[in-house]
Amino acid sequence: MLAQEGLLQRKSLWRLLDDQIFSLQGGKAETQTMGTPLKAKSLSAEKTETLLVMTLKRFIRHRLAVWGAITIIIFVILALFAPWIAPYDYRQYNYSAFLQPPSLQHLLGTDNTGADLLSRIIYGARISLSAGFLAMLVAVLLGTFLGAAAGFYGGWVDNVAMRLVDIALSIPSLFLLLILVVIVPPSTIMVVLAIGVTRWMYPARIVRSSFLSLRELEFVEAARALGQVPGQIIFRHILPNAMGPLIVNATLLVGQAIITESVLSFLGVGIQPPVPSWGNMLSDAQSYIWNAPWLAIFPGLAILMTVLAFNLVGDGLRDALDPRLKQ
Amino acid sequence: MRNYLARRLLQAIPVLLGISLLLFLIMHALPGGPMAMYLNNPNITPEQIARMKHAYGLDRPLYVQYVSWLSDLVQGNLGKSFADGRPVLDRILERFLATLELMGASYFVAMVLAIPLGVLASLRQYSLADILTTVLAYLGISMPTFWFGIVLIMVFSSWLHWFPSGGRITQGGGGPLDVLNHLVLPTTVLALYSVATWSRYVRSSMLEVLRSDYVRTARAKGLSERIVIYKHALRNALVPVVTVLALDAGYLFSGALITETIFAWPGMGRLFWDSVLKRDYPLLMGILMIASILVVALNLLADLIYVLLDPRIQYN
Repeated sequence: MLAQEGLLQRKSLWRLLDDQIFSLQGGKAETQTMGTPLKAKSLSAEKTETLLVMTLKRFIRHRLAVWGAITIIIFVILALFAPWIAPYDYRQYNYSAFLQPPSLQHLLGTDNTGADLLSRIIYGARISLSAGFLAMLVAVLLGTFLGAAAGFYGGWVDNVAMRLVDIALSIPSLFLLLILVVIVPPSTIMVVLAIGVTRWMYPARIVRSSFLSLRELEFVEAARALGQVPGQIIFRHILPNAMGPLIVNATLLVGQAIITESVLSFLGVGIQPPVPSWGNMLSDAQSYIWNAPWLAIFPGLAILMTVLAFNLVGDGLRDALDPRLKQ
Repeated sequence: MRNYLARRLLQAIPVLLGISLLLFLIMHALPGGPMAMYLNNPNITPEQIARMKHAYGLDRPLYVQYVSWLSDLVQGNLGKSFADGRPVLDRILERFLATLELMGASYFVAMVLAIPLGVLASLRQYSLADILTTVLAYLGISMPTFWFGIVLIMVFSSWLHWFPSGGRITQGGGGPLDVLNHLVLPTTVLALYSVATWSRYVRSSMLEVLRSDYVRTARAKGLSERIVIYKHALRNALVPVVTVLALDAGYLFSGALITETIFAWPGMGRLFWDSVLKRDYPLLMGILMIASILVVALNLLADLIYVLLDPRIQYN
């Protein structure tokens, strides 16, 4: 029994090695062969399970992806209940206890104002996670709108939309982003909007290519024959079927947006202190690299862990949603 | 082939025009417009601003300004910097080499590391080496570049004193060794993401090729494993990878900006960041335009290399 379980665990790790995130061509035959030993349970299960249940089952088989999901849930809980979880108030300046190394009283030490670093990181999760999530939402909404229009109508609409994507992809995004956030008066909303506005291109391409193939299928033709208007066809019939790849991309986008937010805050043009974000905490930490290295290490680890978690979940979802892996 | 080349070149023109128009409109739509730098300066009266606007031709209708800016651009005239009045092109060119050095070094390092790592991972699929490169890939992709830079400075400059924490060369000059010494940390930071992604591309591309019929044939006719892998498999596996190398240029520019800011590297990215803070509008436009043109050119190059390397692809 135990040995079998161990084998299963190892297999799921191996499956993850075949992550498609880096692959140009998408699904691989090899994942199919590697998946074979795992089919046992899902095959015997009743055939009536919904797509959601099926996806969830397949997702849970990815150990690393599950770890990613757990990490995200922990950070979300920290963010939501920060006032109850954080041992101190993040604004509690205590000049008699500044730059203290990690200790039992201050698990991660204190910063240059004497505020508890752990508490600041917990509060920082609020900003970093919500900024990442909202920026993703902006990018996905924009991209879906353009991609759906391009894929559904084709012709000149498609041409114009795809040239827009080409143009946007050719401008180095961080450069454009810096202009946007510096010249527009800084506020959290503006930072989120600006990140979203420079990230819509991949969602647009993904939605477009799904639409291009889906609009030719019989069920769309049937909907047309029934006299449904384009709006109905797009939102009720095509879009739900195009969600898979979009969800995967959206998950990865959250991680990227969190990094981007932290870069902006680090440069001093993102989230403005005293609101703590992991990026602006690192910005302050730069001056104390030598006396208080913990100030630079822990917020960065928080970013790394969160982004890693989103990448793992994104990859897990990609495999779980890939119909080619269906047994 | 020639037709394809001509068509791709023609397609690049509307993209470049679109970029220039977009950048132009963004700069003018932002609060304060091109004169934003002076608006908050109490020593400059509205009359002076009006006079400057007239001198720079900023009081003309927008489309006239755009056309004249564009025709200057085509002739290689990017205007003069607001900050010091020198031609934008000169200011960019004197920083360009530093950025090229950094990006070139990181391209080189990333390629030298990523290809063997990817090949190794593909040959020993699911081995410890494969798992380790996967872990490296995940970490490299999830790593916030600037934080990685800070950690490296902390460990290798502040603590071990192995490498300088910033700059391109020691003040007063230094030998080639000094230059290399300054390159190590920034190159590591910039190359990390590329090593992570490229090694994955090489791996999956190799796995694909190793399963193909001609590799089996090569093995079947008794060629040594070495020849099969390096002569038959790797060459073909690298074809799609080359495209990725060129397509990553856009990312590399953004990465260079962060790296240059952290390591006080006197390149284009740092110049851009300084100009953002100074609201030096012509310089910002110039750098963005040149970086975008380079990205478009590299994408074009990627397409061409792809066609050249893979004779199976016909574009007609």
